[in-house]
Amino acid sequence: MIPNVEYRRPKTLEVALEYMKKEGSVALAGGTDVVVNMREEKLLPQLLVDLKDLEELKGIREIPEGIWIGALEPVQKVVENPLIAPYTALVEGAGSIGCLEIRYRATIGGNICNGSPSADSLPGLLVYDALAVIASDMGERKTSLESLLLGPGKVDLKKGEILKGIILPKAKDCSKSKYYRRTRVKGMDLSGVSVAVYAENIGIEGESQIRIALGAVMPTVARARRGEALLAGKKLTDQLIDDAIDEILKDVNPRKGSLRANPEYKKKMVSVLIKKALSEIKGGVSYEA
Amino acid sequence: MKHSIKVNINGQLYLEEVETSMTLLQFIRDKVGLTGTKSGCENGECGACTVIMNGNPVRSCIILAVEADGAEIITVEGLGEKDKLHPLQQSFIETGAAQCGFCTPGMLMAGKALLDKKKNPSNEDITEALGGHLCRCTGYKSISKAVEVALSKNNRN
Repeated sequence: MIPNVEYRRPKTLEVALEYMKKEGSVALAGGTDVVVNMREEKLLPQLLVDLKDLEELKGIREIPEGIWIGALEPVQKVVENPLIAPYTALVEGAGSIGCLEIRYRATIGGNICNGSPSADSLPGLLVYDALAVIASDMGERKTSLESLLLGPGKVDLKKGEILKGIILPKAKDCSKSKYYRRTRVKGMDLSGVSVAVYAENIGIEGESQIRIALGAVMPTVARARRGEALLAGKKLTDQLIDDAIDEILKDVNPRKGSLRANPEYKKKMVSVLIKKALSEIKGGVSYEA
Repeated sequence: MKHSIKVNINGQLYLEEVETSMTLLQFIRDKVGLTGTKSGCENGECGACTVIMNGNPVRSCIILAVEADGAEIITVEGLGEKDKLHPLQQSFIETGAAQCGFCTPGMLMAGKALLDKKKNPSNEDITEALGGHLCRCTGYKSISKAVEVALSKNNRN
């Protein structure tokens, strides 16, 4: 049963921020996690603050720093927007969330704030160094999106703060990215393991830059920086890639008892999917995601 | 907590008082009395409760009725006319796409949303549109066939 809690739908950000300061307040966007969690009594808010009328949290547009995506934008709108098309790993990751009906309702901000270690939009956002814009009655603060992720279900939003949107830095022409995930069944499943790989000037000595983000193998979605450092600026050989993956797997410690995949499988897949993505980006064979 | 909401369902306006705890699905079935929309998993996973809300297919079991204030909703009852079935309904009959029928209203609404949005959906589009819907009877083939048949009829008209 869903509890009959207090519900407010503020028309302005100012009022919304006031509500979010109250004890037991929970922000409601698309509700595809919040309503489900309330029904399962995993979430027991005293006050639901429906953000859907806040214009400040909407829109996908070009800004001087790159692309602005309002936190309230439905996932499917992000996936379909031509401005987002160059960010392949984001399009592919966000496009694999739930099913079409979920993606029309679920929001990009909600996928972030739900704090799932397997959130499918996050690896693609992290490899592009996305920034989070957070509003409070003190004003706005900007931070790296990665630093917002604290643990399963935990994001670094303080009482009275609302995620307003994210900024994607401009995608460079020389860059490409790819997202792969593994699930038990093809449709309507959460990722058992996921990998986003970004590369610019791939394999060109001194210029090559590779970024890797992993989902569902750590307490949060996170970048694999030790492996990235090993790959930076180098010509990609099979040996180098193997060494980087070994380095990455040192940081990977999937929890036991996951319903979706055991730790050994997840680790193996991290390796397989990183290689697949690199091969795809280099112009090799294209694999089905 | 009680809220007054105004919801347009199949062209008719409903003004009702609802509690926060009421889902859109419960509103449609229990308050308005339109029982074509089915309650399946009540968790957003099976697709039986799919309706079209402001042009998009959505899961009415994980939307609060109060969130639907001001929305325009189409349910399966809004598909055909009294004496004339919608092409999708007709093609579902022709291809044997309904067996027990429980998933059918959700499938029909997903199909309608697709046909409304895309003039020439590909087979992948059809699979994507129906991909989040569970059917335990048909094996899905006859359902995607039904959407294809409706599409070809649409294009002939």
